[in-house]
Amino acid sequence: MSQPAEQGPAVDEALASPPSKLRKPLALISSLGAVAQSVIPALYAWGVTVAPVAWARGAGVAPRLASVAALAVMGAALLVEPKRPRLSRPLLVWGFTACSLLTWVLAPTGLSVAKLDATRGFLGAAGWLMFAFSAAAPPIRRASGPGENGRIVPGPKLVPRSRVARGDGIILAGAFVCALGLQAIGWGVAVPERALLLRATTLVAGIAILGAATDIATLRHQVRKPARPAVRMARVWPSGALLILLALAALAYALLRST
Amino acid sequence: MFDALAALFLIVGVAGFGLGAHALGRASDVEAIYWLVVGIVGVRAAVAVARPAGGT
Repeated sequence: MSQPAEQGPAVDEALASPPSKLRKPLALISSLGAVAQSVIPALYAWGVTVAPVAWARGAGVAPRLASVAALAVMGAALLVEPKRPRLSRPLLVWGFTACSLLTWVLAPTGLSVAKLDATRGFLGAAGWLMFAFSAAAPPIRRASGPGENGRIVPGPKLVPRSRVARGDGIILAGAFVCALGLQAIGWGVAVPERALLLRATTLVAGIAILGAATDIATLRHQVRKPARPAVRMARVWPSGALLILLALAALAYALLRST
Repeated sequence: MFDALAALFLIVGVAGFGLGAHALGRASDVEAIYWLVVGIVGVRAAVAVARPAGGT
């Protein structure tokens, strides 16, 4: 599946490579403080779970004020961070969470099962999880030590030991698309037992397709001793014969049914 | 040529699995078993063709 790459030239090439498009936003995020980094998922969580509840029809003024207060606390924590970093994080974590909680308490119908669909619930939970993680984790900092060249991850630059050949990528991508396509079949089945059997079958079939594609991609590069065409034909013969038999059986069945 | 044959068998296998799952959804169990067997045989044949002499 992969071709070995020479370590020395690969290292030189990686070190000499121009900065990727991904580096700019990463560099921007790493230049922010801890609270500023946490504000990004907080803003997302607010947008998905707090704002829709507060600004829903008939929610009233109090939940809207509480939701705006959550945003104001976020802004205050950002402003306070450069001068008082110890205060800014508790202000964001407790202030923002309390204001969000107050919004939900003041508009309890906004989070009822009837109004909250599963997708939004899942996205909101993911947002709060990201906020909790970023608020608890130390901020990402660029290394400023000698020889570290301002990198975010400490230590020397990581270089891949091998590269994926282009043909392998196409084979695996095709298999992945096929395995994913199988999951699109049979969502309208009404009987629960059959629906479960169908899901299990498509899952196992998808795994089998991915496994076969991985084997094919890996075996393409085994050049120790290529098999002679006759040997390969001998290997294909049992499966090929079985496929032909199956095709003949289907043909015979179709003929019998038509007469 | 054998790589292309392996890809062809893999396509047969994928089609077999797809038709088998579709038949299973329509509650045509015999048809589903038939197509799933086609899928398994197709996938196995694809790997067998791709394998060089040294492979196990």
